[in-house]
Amino acid sequence: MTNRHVWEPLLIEKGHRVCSDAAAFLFVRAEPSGDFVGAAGVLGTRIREVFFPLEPNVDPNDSPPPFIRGLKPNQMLLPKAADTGFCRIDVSDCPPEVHPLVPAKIINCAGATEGMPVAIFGFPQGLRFPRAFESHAQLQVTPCFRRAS
Amino acid sequence: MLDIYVNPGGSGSPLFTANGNVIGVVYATRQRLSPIVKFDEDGNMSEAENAGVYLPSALGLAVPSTQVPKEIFPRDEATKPL
Repeated sequence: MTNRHVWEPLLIEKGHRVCSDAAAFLFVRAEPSGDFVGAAGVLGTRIREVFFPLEPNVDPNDSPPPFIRGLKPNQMLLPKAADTGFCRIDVSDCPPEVHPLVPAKIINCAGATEGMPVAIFGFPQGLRFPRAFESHAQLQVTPCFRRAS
Repeated sequence: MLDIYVNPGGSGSPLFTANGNVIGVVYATRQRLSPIVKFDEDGNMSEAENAGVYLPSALGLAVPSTQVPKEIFPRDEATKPL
Protein backbone atom coordinates (compact mmCIF):
# COMPACT_ATOMS: atom_id res chain seq x y z
CA MET A 1 0.00 0.00 0.00
CA THR A 2 1.29 3.44 -0.89
CA ASN A 3 0.03 6.64 -2.51
CA ARG A 4 -1.61 6.94 -5.88
CA HIS A 5 0.75 9.77 -6.74
CA VAL A 6 3.67 7.45 -6.01
CA TRP A 7 2.33 4.86 -8.45
CA GLU A 8 1.41 7.15 -11.30
CA PRO A 9 4.96 7.81 -12.58
CA LEU A 10 5.52 4.04 -12.68
CA LEU A 11 2.46 3.25 -14.79
CA ILE A 12 2.53 2.50 -18.49
CA GLU A 13 0.21 4.84 -20.39
CA LYS A 14 -1.85 5.56 -17.28
CA GLY A 15 -3.07 1.98 -17.21
CA HIS A 16 -2.71 -0.38 -14.34
CA ARG A 17 0.45 -1.96 -15.72
CA VAL A 18 3.66 -0.91 -14.10
CA CYS A 19 7.10 -0.50 -15.63
CA SER A 20 9.05 -3.74 -15.66
CA ASP A 21 11.79 -2.28 -13.48
CA ALA A 22 9.41 -1.04 -10.79
CA ALA A 23 9.98 -2.79 -7.49
CA ALA A 24 8.58 -2.97 -4.02
CA PHE A 25 10.93 -3.14 -1.08
CA LEU A 26 10.26 -5.37 1.87
CA PHE A 27 11.78 -4.95 5.28
CA VAL A 28 12.57 -8.45 6.35
CA ARG A 29 14.21 -9.96 9.36
CA ALA A 30 15.55 -13.46 9.19
CA GLU A 31 17.76 -15.42 11.49
CA PRO A 32 21.18 -16.15 9.97
CA SER A 33 21.33 -19.68 8.66
CA GLY A 34 24.74 -21.15 7.93
CA ASP A 35 26.61 -18.85 5.60
CA PHE A 36 23.46 -16.95 4.77
CA VAL A 37 23.42 -13.54 6.44
CA GLY A 38 22.08 -11.31 3.70
CA ALA A 39 18.34 -11.49 4.20
CA ALA A 40 18.11 -9.13 7.12
CA GLY A 41 17.31 -5.70 5.78
CA VAL A 42 15.71 -4.53 2.57
CA LEU A 43 14.60 -6.89 -0.15
CA GLY A 44 13.33 -5.90 -3.60
CA THR A 45 10.45 -7.77 -5.21
CA ARG A 46 8.63 -7.54 -8.53
CA ILE A 47 5.27 -5.81 -8.75
CA ARG A 48 2.57 -7.78 -10.58
CA GLU A 49 -0.32 -5.34 -10.65
CA VAL A 50 -1.58 -2.14 -9.10
CA PHE A 51 -5.04 -0.77 -8.49
CA PHE A 52 -6.62 2.28 -6.94
CA PRO A 53 -9.78 2.81 -4.94
CA LEU A 54 -12.20 4.99 -6.87
CA GLU A 55 -13.44 6.77 -3.82
CA PRO A 56 -12.82 6.71 -0.09
CA ASN A 57 -14.37 3.81 1.70
CA VAL A 58 -16.42 5.93 4.07
CA ASP A 59 -19.06 4.08 5.98
CA PRO A 60 -21.84 6.41 7.22
CA ASN A 61 -22.26 4.18 10.23
CA ASP A 62 -18.69 4.75 11.31
CA SER A 63 -18.08 6.92 14.32
CA PRO A 64 -16.88 10.36 13.22
CA PRO A 65 -13.16 11.06 13.41
CA PRO A 66 -12.03 12.86 16.55
CA PHE A 67 -11.38 16.58 16.68
CA ILE A 68 -7.71 17.32 16.15
CA ARG A 69 -6.33 20.59 17.40
CA GLY A 70 -9.84 21.94 17.63
CA LEU A 71 -10.61 21.27 13.98
CA LYS A 72 -13.63 19.34 12.84
CA PRO A 73 -12.97 16.87 10.02
CA ASN A 74 -15.03 18.97 7.61
CA GLN A 75 -12.81 21.96 8.32
CA MET A 76 -9.79 20.23 6.88
CA LEU A 77 -8.97 20.30 3.20
CA LEU A 78 -8.87 16.71 2.15
CA PRO A 79 -8.78 15.26 -1.37
CA LYS A 80 -12.05 13.84 -2.70
CA ALA A 81 -10.39 10.54 -3.52
CA ALA A 82 -8.06 9.00 -1.02
CA ASP A 83 -4.47 9.26 -2.20
CA THR A 84 -3.87 5.56 -1.89
CA GLY A 85 -2.87 2.81 -4.25
CA PHE A 86 -2.29 -0.89 -3.84
CA CYS A 87 -0.16 -3.47 -5.53
CA ARG A 88 0.22 -7.20 -5.70
CA ILE A 89 3.77 -8.42 -5.39
CA ASP A 90 5.49 -11.67 -6.18
CA VAL A 91 7.42 -13.07 -3.26
CA SER A 92 8.26 -16.34 -4.98
CA ASP A 93 11.65 -14.95 -5.96
CA CYS A 94 12.55 -14.11 -2.38
CA PRO A 95 15.22 -16.21 -0.73
CA PRO A 96 13.64 -19.08 1.22
CA GLU A 97 15.34 -17.91 4.38
CA VAL A 98 13.06 -14.86 4.61
CA HIS A 99 9.89 -16.94 4.71
CA PRO A 100 7.45 -16.80 6.26
CA LEU A 101 7.17 -13.08 5.66
CA VAL A 102 5.23 -11.39 8.43
CA PRO A 103 3.04 -8.58 7.05
CA ALA A 104 2.11 -5.53 9.03
CA LYS A 105 -1.56 -5.62 9.97
CA ILE A 106 -3.87 -2.81 8.87
CA ILE A 107 -6.27 -2.03 11.68
CA ASN A 108 -9.09 0.41 12.21
CA CYS A 109 -7.82 3.87 13.09
CA ALA A 110 -11.01 4.85 14.85
CA GLY A 111 -9.34 4.52 18.22
CA ALA A 112 -6.48 6.88 17.37
CA THR A 113 -6.41 9.94 19.56
CA GLU A 114 -4.44 13.15 19.59
CA GLY A 115 -1.04 12.62 21.13
CA MET A 116 -0.90 8.91 20.46
CA PRO A 117 2.65 7.91 19.51
CA VAL A 118 3.02 6.82 15.89
CA ALA A 119 5.92 6.27 13.53
CA ILE A 120 6.65 6.47 9.82
CA PHE A 121 9.43 5.60 7.45
CA GLY A 122 11.08 8.82 6.41
CA PHE A 123 14.06 10.48 4.88
CA PRO A 124 15.30 13.32 7.10
CA GLN A 125 17.40 14.71 4.27
CA GLY A 126 14.85 13.91 1.59
CA LEU A 127 15.06 11.11 -0.93
CA ARG A 128 17.16 12.04 -3.94
CA PHE A 129 18.46 10.12 -6.93
CA PRO A 130 21.00 12.38 -8.65
CA ARG A 131 21.81 11.55 -12.25
CA ALA A 132 25.53 11.52 -11.56
CA PHE A 133 26.82 9.37 -8.74
CA GLU A 134 29.10 11.02 -6.24
CA SER A 135 30.78 8.78 -3.72
CA HIS A 136 31.09 11.58 -1.18
CA ALA A 137 27.50 12.79 -1.51
CA GLN A 138 25.43 12.39 1.62
CA LEU A 139 22.68 10.34 0.08
CA GLN A 140 20.16 8.47 2.15
CA VAL A 141 18.31 5.77 0.26
CA THR A 142 17.24 3.62 3.22
CA PRO A 143 14.43 5.17 5.22
CA CYS A 144 14.67 5.77 8.94
CA PHE A 145 11.97 4.78 11.37
CA ARG A 146 10.80 8.02 12.95
CA ARG A 147 8.52 8.42 15.94
CA ALA A 148 6.06 11.25 16.39
CA SER A 149 2.53 11.86 17.56
CA MET B 1 -2.63 15.09 11.08
CA LEU B 2 0.82 14.15 12.24
CA ASP B 3 3.27 16.14 14.30
CA ILE B 4 6.20 15.03 12.18
CA TYR B 5 8.36 16.27 9.32
CA VAL B 6 7.52 14.54 6.04
CA ASN B 7 10.40 15.16 3.69
CA PRO B 8 10.60 14.19 0.00
CA GLY B 9 10.32 10.42 -0.28
CA GLY B 10 8.20 10.08 2.83
CA SER B 11 4.94 9.79 0.90
CA GLY B 12 3.54 6.31 0.98
CA SER B 13 5.02 5.39 4.30
CA PRO B 14 2.80 3.28 6.53
CA LEU B 15 1.65 5.02 9.67
CA PHE B 16 2.53 2.66 12.47
CA THR B 17 1.22 2.43 15.98
CA ALA B 18 3.51 1.61 18.86
CA ASN B 19 2.82 -2.10 18.48
CA GLY B 20 3.59 -2.18 14.77
CA ASN B 21 0.07 -2.13 13.33
CA VAL B 22 -0.79 0.22 10.45
CA ILE B 23 -3.51 2.84 10.80
CA GLY B 24 -2.88 4.91 7.67
CA VAL B 25 -0.56 5.94 4.90
CA VAL B 26 1.35 9.22 4.73
CA TYR B 27 0.51 11.31 1.68
CA ALA B 28 1.42 14.96 2.16
CA THR B 29 2.91 17.68 4.27
CA ARG B 30 2.30 21.37 4.62
CA GLN B 31 5.10 23.43 3.17
CA ARG B 32 6.16 26.90 4.12
CA LEU B 33 8.01 29.40 1.96
CA SER B 34 11.39 30.24 3.40
CA PRO B 35 12.60 33.50 1.81
CA ILE B 36 16.03 33.83 0.28
CA VAL B 37 18.23 36.25 2.17
CA LYS B 38 20.64 38.51 0.34
CA PHE B 39 23.31 40.95 1.48
CA ASP B 40 24.24 44.24 -0.09
CA GLU B 41 27.74 45.67 -0.35
CA ASP B 42 27.51 47.12 3.14
CA GLY B 43 26.56 43.78 4.62
CA ASN B 44 22.95 44.69 5.24
CA MET B 45 20.62 41.74 5.04
CA SER B 46 17.31 41.75 3.24
CA GLU B 47 14.86 39.20 1.95
CA ALA B 48 14.55 38.70 -1.77
CA GLU B 49 11.12 39.54 -3.12
CA ASN B 50 9.05 36.78 -4.70
CA ALA B 51 11.79 34.24 -4.20
CA GLY B 52 12.28 31.51 -1.69
CA VAL B 53 12.46 27.84 -1.01
CA TYR B 54 9.56 25.65 0.06
CA LEU B 55 10.43 23.65 3.16
CA PRO B 56 8.31 21.05 4.89
CA SER B 57 6.68 22.05 8.12
CA ALA B 58 6.20 19.74 11.06
CA LEU B 59 2.69 18.92 9.90
CA GLY B 60 2.25 15.65 8.07
CA LEU B 61 -0.97 14.27 6.66
CA ALA B 62 -2.00 10.65 6.37
CA VAL B 63 -4.93 8.84 4.79
CA PRO B 64 -6.73 7.00 7.60
CA SER B 65 -7.07 3.26 7.35
CA THR B 66 -10.85 3.58 7.39
CA GLN B 67 -10.60 4.76 3.76
CA VAL B 68 -8.95 1.55 2.64
CA PRO B 69 -11.33 -0.46 0.41
CA LYS B 70 -13.27 -3.18 2.11
CA GLU B 71 -11.79 -5.79 -0.21
CA ILE B 72 -8.42 -5.12 1.37
CA PHE B 73 -9.56 -4.13 4.78
CA PRO B 74 -12.22 -6.60 5.88
CA ARG B 75 -13.78 -4.63 8.67
CA ASP B 76 -15.75 -7.52 10.04
CA GLU B 77 -12.71 -9.68 10.57
CA ALA B 78 -9.29 -8.22 11.00
CA THR B 79 -10.22 -4.92 12.51
CA LYS B 80 -9.80 -4.43 16.17
CA PRO B 81 -9.97 -1.32 18.26
CA LEU B 82 -6.63 0.13 19.18
